[in-house]
Amino acid sequence: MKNEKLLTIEGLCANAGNKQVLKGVDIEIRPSEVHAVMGPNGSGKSTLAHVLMGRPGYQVTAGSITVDGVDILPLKTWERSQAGMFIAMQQPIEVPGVKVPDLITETAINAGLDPQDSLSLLYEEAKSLGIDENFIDRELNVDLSGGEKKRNETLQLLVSKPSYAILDEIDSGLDIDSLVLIAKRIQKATEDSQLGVLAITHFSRLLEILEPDKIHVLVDGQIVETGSAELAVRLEEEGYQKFLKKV
Amino acid sequence: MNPFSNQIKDIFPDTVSIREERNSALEKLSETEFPSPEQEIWRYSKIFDLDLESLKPSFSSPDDKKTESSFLDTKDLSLVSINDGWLGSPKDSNFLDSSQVYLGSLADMGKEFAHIEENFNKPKDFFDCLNRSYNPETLVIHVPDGVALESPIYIKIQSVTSDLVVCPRIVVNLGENSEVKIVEHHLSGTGVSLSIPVLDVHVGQNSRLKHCVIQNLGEETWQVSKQNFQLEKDSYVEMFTAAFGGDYARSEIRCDLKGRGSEAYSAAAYFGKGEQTLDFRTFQKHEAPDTTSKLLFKGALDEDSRSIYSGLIKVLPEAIRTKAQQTNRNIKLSENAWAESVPNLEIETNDVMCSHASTVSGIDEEQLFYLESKGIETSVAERLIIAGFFDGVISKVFDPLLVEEATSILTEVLQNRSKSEGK
Repeated sequence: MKNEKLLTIEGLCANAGNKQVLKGVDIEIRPSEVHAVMGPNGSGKSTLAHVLMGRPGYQVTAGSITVDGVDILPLKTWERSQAGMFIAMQQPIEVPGVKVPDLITETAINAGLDPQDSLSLLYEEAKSLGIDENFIDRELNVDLSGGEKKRNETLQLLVSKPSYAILDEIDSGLDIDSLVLIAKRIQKATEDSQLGVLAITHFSRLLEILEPDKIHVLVDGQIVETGSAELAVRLEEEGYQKFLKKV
Repeated sequence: MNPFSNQIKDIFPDTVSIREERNSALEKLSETEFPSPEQEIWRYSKIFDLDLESLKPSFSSPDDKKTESSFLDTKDLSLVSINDGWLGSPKDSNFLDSSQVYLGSLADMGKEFAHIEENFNKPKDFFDCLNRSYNPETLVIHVPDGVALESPIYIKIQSVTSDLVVCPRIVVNLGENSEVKIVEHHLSGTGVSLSIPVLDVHVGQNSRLKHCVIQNLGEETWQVSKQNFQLEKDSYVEMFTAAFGGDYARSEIRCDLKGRGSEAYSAAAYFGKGEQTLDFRTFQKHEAPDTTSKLLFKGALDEDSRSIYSGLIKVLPEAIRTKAQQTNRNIKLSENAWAESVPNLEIETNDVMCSHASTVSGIDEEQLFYLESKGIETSVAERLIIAGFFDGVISKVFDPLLVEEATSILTEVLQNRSKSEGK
């Protein structure tokens, strides 16, 4: 069972600073599966995303995260990425003077690939996302609009071909047309390259296209309900009131 | 105090006027004290560690003809100073073509240029006096009114022998409505040596100067350099310094905005490693209305290196509507690295827009996380972030060859750093 393809989050408890935010989260994502995490503001959705990638400022206090049988908790962020994890950040960080092709080149060299092939893929995928070539050569997230940043994150996702992608509110800041384009492209990746997805979102629009296998409702650091795609529609109509009372 | 011999009468075959200047510098030198770190302008420096007694001036005679391979053969206008002796100086054709641009020795200029020194300040401090006393031959770049020189003038200043003091001096005199670009390379061999370069610049009304320096001295070399810029009405100066080498390398940059509407843009990129000290003192002096100065100095300090940035924006009462900015950003790459940043404002009028900012910090953790989350190893991510930090100043330099050279030096330094960190 050790090498089974699977992202497993088990009993995960974590602090942001001194505050306990995650209080025992269990999620299992198989290749090609799409899982959505929904929940009210402050319930711990972004913390979950950050903890999965090992962002500084968060401490795991209990539980485990394994990727295809590998315990990634002791791993550094870049090692988690190389183990197959990817995060499309809610608020991608500006890195002045560094460009997407720089990252693609470095990761290709590190993986022993020809950077030229990776760069060709970059321009090809950019086209599929309706991203202008000139845009690619801009500094990472510097002076980009919210929508441009999200497209940029998606572009890197498609080129780096991870096993599992965490989409932290990839739909925020996007207009409807861009949202549809990006969601369709990611959905295609779940079929073409068996990408497993953990999508954090407030809106069912994204999920209409991504067709999630499971919806998890996260309230106060715990998953209070897991259901099928219809759950998202119900949440859109009813809100989280019912769950808030449960806690 | 003069640490060296005063008996230099027969060594330098000076003209009468240059001899007078030299003698007055020597006289002033004997009355001038060696600098002390108690003086604000030498604060934080390690000038007390300089052992002048163990060094001697090169006493290079301008008439010593040396055959050295010409510097950067591809350049149209290039000059080299080795151990304080100019080579490749176009002595036989000081006046370039019909443009009447003069590029050559101060001593060889005709009488009609006798007034040229009047445009520049007399030597003031210890190292000014040392430079003027022991500088064998001042190089003059004179651009007459209405002349714009298209291609840059490349100057390489190199000392190749240890235990030497070299005192190169370059005078740049731009008439009105003229334009020139100058690129200086400062290099040195192994062993302890001291370089005291002085650059005196006068930019006439409505003229434009672009000037850059790349300093890649040997690791035991000391440098105490001074650049003085004087800007007349509506003139424009763009200056850049890339500093990588030296044991103690100091650069004092003074910019006097004397004429209404003049503009000065100054930038620097420096990288310290080992036990280096890189020391920058800048002065943006606004003497006339509607003048603009912007300064951006960026540095990274690794291992046990130190940097000092101390800058002053001074606005005189008459310099109304001055716009002045001064920014110094430092990244500390190791626990033991040390960066001191001291910005200062002295504003004597109300109607101005002045700002200053300075930071000393480690590599941004959020940036590091972002790059690592895309699969970039920590040491490589750091390299990209540092290179990106400098890109904003280096990529804007006017001379593509200098950009390429500065970038390649930086890349090499950062790659060696990544390698040693990766292990």
